[in-house]
Amino acid sequence: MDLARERFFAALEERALAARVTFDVPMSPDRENRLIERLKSRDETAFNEIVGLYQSRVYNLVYRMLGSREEAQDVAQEVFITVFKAIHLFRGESKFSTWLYRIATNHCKNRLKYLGRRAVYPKTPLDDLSERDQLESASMSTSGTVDRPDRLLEGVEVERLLQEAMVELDEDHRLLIVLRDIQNLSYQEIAEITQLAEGTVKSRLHRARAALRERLVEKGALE
Amino acid sequence: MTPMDERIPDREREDDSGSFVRGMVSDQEPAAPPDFLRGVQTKIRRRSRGKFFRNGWTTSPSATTVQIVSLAMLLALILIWILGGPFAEVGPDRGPANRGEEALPPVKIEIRGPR
Repeated sequence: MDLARERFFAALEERALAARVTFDVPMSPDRENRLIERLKSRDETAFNEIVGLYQSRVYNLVYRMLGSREEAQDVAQEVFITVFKAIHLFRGESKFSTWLYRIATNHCKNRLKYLGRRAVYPKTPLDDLSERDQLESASMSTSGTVDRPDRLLEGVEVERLLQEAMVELDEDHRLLIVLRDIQNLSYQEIAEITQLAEGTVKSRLHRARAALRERLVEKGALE
Repeated sequence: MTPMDERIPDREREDDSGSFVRGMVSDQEPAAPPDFLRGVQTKIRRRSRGKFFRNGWTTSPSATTVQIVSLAMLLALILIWILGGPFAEVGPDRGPANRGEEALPPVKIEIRGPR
C-alpha cells in the first residue's frame, strides 16, 4: 500500500474519532412549547426563531438525501413553509423535531419521485463537492480536523466518495443512514419519523450499512 | 417487520457499525445559505398574497430592530410630552386664577347707534 493510501485511511480514522456526537438543538421543552404556541397564533418572529434553530439540521438532511445544494435549499424552504401552514396540526404527541423531520423526509421522497419521473437531476453531488472544494480552498478554511492542504484534499475525496455511494443506495436505506449515522438520532426517534418498528429500523439499517460499505469498497474508499 | 428483517440476528441488528460513515462525514457539514430565512419568508409572503411577512421588520431574524425602534419612538413621545406638557412655558397671561388676583368685573360695552 502506498503512502498516500495509508495517509488516506489514517485521516479517515482521525475523522471518525472527531465526529460530532449530537446535532441536538439546545432548547428546553418549555421554550419550545412557548415558541410553538406563538407560532400557532401566527407570530412571525416565533417562526423566524424556529427556522434559525432548525435550518441547519433540515438542510443537511435534505442535502444528504438529494445530493444537490440547489434542490436542498428549495426543498428545505418548502419544509418550513409546510410547518408554517400546518403548525395547527401539531398536537405535541411527539417531539417537534420528530414532526419536523417527518415533514422533511416526506418532502425529500416527493422531490425524488418528481426528479425520477422527469429523469432530471440538475446537479451531481460531485459538482457540489468540487464547488465546495473551491470555496474552501479560496477561503483557506478547512474541514474539521483537516488542517493541511493534502489532508483537505483527502477529506474532500472521502466526502465525495461517501456522497456518491449514498446516492446509489436505495432511498429508504439512505434515509436511515442519514438519520442515524449523520444526524445521530436515536432508534426511537427514527422509528417515529419513518413510522417503522424499532426492530425494523435496526435490521434495515444493518442492511443499509452493509450496502454502503460494499459500494465504498468498490470505489476503493474502504478495505 | 418483514421476514428478511427477522433473518438478521438481534446481535447484528443492535450493533452500531455506522462509525465508518461518521468518520467519512466532514465535520463542517454543508450549511444553509445565509439568505435561507429570507427566501422562506418571501415564498410565504407571495403565496399568502401579502398576508404574512408583509412589512420589513419581520424579515429580521430577531425582534431587536423592532424593539430599538419602539424604544426610540417611546423616548420621542416622552420628549414631546415634556416639552409641550406640564413643564411647558406658556404665555405671560395665565388668567386671574393663576395670578392670585380677584377677577375684574366684566366691562360693560355700550353700543350706540348713529346720531
